[in-house]
Amino acid sequence: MSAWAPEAPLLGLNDGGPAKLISCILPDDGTERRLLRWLRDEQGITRANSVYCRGHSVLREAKARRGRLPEPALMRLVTIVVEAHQAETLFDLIYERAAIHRPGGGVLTMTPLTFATPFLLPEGVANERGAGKE
Amino acid sequence: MNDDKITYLTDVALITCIVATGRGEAVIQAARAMGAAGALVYHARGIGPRERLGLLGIAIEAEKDVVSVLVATDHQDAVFEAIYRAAEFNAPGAGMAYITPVEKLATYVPREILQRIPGQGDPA
Repeated sequence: MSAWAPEAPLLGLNDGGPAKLISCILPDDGTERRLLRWLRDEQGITRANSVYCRGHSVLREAKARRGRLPEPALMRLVTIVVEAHQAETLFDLIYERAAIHRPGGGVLTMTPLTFATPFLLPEGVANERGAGKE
Repeated sequence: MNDDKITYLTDVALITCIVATGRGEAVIQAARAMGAAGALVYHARGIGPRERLGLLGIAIEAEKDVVSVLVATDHQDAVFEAIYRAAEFNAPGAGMAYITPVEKLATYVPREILQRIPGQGDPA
C-alpha cells in the first residue's frame, strides 16, 4: 500500500484534451536537467521526459570510415506535453532557456496532439535528492 | 538573453521508423543519401507476435532502434521511400515507419543562410 493518500478525486478521461508536444533535441551537456528543473519549478510543468539518444548530424564534423556513418554524438531528447493555449509562449521561452540559438544548440519542434491525459503528482512527497532548486 | 528573433521553420515532417537493432544505420544512410540533415536514434524493446515470425521464432530481434529523421515536407515522400527500401519494410517483422507533421521547428540557422531568405537577413 502506498504511503500517501490522495485527497483530490481521481482524474477521469474528461480531464484531458487537445495539447501540443514540444520536443527538444539537446546536447548532453546538462542543459536538459536544467531545463526540466526550470519547467517544473518555474512553469509548473510535470509532463516532461528525457531519454538518451545517439545523434547523427551532417553539419557536425566527425571522423568516419569509408562507407560507414560517423561516430554519433550523445544527445538528449526531451518531450514536453503542454496545454495548447500556452504552447506558443512556452516554445519561445524554451528556445531561450535551452540556448537553442547557439551553434550545436539542438532543435526544437512542436507537434499537435489530439488528446493528452492530465498528470498530477501526489502532494506531500519530497523530491528525490539533487532534484531540488539550485 | 538572445537578441536575435527566432526563425520558425514550417513545412517540416518527422519520419519515425522502428527497426531491429543494428538496422538503424542502413536507415540513416538512406535518409542522408536523400539529403536529410541528421537523425536521432534511441533503443526500445518490441513485443508482439515474434514467435510466429521468422525462422523458429528466433529471427526477429526484440531490441529495436527507433530512428527519427526531420525532413522538409517537399522531400518527405522521397526520403520515406528510401527508408522503406533500406529497411526492407516489405518483409514481415522488419519494422514500421510513420510520418508526423511538425507544426514548427526552431534551431540555430547560420547568419549567411538567413541573409539569403527575403525578410530574414535584416538585423532584429
